[in-house]
Amino acid sequence: MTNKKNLWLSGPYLIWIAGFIILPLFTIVYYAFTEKRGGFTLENIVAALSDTANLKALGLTLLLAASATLIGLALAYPLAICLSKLKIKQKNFIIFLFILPMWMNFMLQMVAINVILEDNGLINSVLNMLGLKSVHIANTYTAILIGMVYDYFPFMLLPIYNTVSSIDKDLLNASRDLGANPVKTFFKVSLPLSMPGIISGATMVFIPAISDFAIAEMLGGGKIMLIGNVVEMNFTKGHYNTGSGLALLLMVFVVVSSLLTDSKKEDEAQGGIVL
Amino acid sequence: MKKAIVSLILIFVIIFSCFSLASCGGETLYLFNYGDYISPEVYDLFYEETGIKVVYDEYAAPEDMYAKFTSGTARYDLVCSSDYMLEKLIKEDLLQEINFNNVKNICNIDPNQLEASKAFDSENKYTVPHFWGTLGILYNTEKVDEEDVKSWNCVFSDKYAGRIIMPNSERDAMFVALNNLGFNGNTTSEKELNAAANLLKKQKKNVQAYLLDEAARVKLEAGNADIAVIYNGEAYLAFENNDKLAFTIPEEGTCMWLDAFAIPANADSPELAEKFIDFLCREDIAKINFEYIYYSTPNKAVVDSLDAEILEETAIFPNENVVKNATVLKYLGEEAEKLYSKLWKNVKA
Repeated sequence: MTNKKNLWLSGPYLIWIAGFIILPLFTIVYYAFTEKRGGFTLENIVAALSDTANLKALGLTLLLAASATLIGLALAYPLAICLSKLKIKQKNFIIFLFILPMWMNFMLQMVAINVILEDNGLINSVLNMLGLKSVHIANTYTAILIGMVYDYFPFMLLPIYNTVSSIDKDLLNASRDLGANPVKTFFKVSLPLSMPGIISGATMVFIPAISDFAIAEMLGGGKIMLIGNVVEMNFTKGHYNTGSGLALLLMVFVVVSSLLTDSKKEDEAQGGIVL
Repeated sequence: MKKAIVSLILIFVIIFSCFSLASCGGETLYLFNYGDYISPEVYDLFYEETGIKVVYDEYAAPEDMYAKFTSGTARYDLVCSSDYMLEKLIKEDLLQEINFNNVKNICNIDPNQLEASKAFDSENKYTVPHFWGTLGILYNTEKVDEEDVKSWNCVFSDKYAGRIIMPNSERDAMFVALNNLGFNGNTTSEKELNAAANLLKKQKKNVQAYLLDEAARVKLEAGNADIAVIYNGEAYLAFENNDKLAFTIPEEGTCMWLDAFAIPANADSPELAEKFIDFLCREDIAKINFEYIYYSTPNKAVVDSLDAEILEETAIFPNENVVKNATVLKYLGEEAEKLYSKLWKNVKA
């Protein structure tokens, strides 16, 4: 059967997309460019950009999302290399372990992280037991960062692992035969070849992280507002137009960052998405 | 091909069964209420007695309620909300008068409470009280000096930095700041509101978290924080879980809130709503609710049936002087409301 014949099979999903993705997107755009009574205005966009509270939240969001991406990468890349060297059986089991937390309810994960970080929590009890001073992490930027790294880690690990393990060993051997030391081999061969995985991993962490509000809500103690929280606050309080203006602004960042990574990916041939 | 057809059929079966599940059964009452504000047992009893099923949605803050209520996406037969929000709904013609012929048990409600409700429902035509209470300070007696909590100053000083929980609700948090600066809690003066917001901003570095109700209480019970500005009703539950906790109302005075039921103007079945209100006012049902939440009940029949020991518990029944001097939060109009939203966002961002 040709592809065309099967096209109708995507029908149910197309209906889904139209109703739950395209329609809401248009609604956001409509609200963003209208005032409460329905007339056209640019005020929502201007307000979104000129309010210092919004800009502060946006800056903080980009910073936290970027840090979460970098930390995730720093954790995932060496791990991916280790994993790729294991026997198949062990490999599958260990990967399974890393995906396991995703089976758990998100709220529970966050409540558990909070219990661990709390002033009287697990970390501090252990520190106190060892006679060390308590650390205050709960309801700080650090807490949110930990939550982000934890929550998005599998999305970083899996694509990287896929590309790293598909690197042809002969290329590494060739590099060595030609006199490159391990460091040079890594930078000249392994790293460039695993770029597609790194890029899709980074995209899959960075983009959801900049629009996240639940992690900040649950681990920030209501003290820290990311741009997602500002959007959420506007919507729950009924300011749909202002909220949509902000959401649109946020979308620009999402689109720009995915375009940036997409153009790279095409140069590097196939990415390593497994999810 | 066959597989595809089978899976399509399955999809349709699933979709249709969802619809049919939602529409089965007899009469249904749609209620919009604060989270966990009626004992689940009450819904079952109501269904057993009348065959009416109560379907309820919950919300956290009055402003959230207003947004959803006016968005037109859901229609309710009955809402429960607070003083200033009810006043706003009344002013905007969004509520209908209750037919008190169908609410005979209103006679159980304390006349003093009905009097107090006149602050927002001037003729007692639109609302029936559910619970009331005051804002106060829940604190850990081992960590906090009893002298300090006599004043709201304690949450603005550096002494308890990092151990303070403030309410995650703009009116309550601002009330504490306004009161501390000597302003009226219902002020609409931009200067005074700005000053209060600045105070909250300055205080923020000392605040561990902005939380409401149960979330705040749990922090203190677990010893993760030492001072929380919280509603009195949570205090009694807190004592039961941690005997080192105590509750007090600062001497400068506090705000009093009244939560009440009201019937939206566009309700589909106001008579069902009235039946349910009547049911809630019945002594035995009001008692079940009281024992579930331990907030101050306006139901005189219940109060009269309680042991002296519980009546003396000032966390549940604040003494008369406190009540007399308490500010009832009023609806401040759209302009002030906007300013509040803006200031609160700035505090939190």
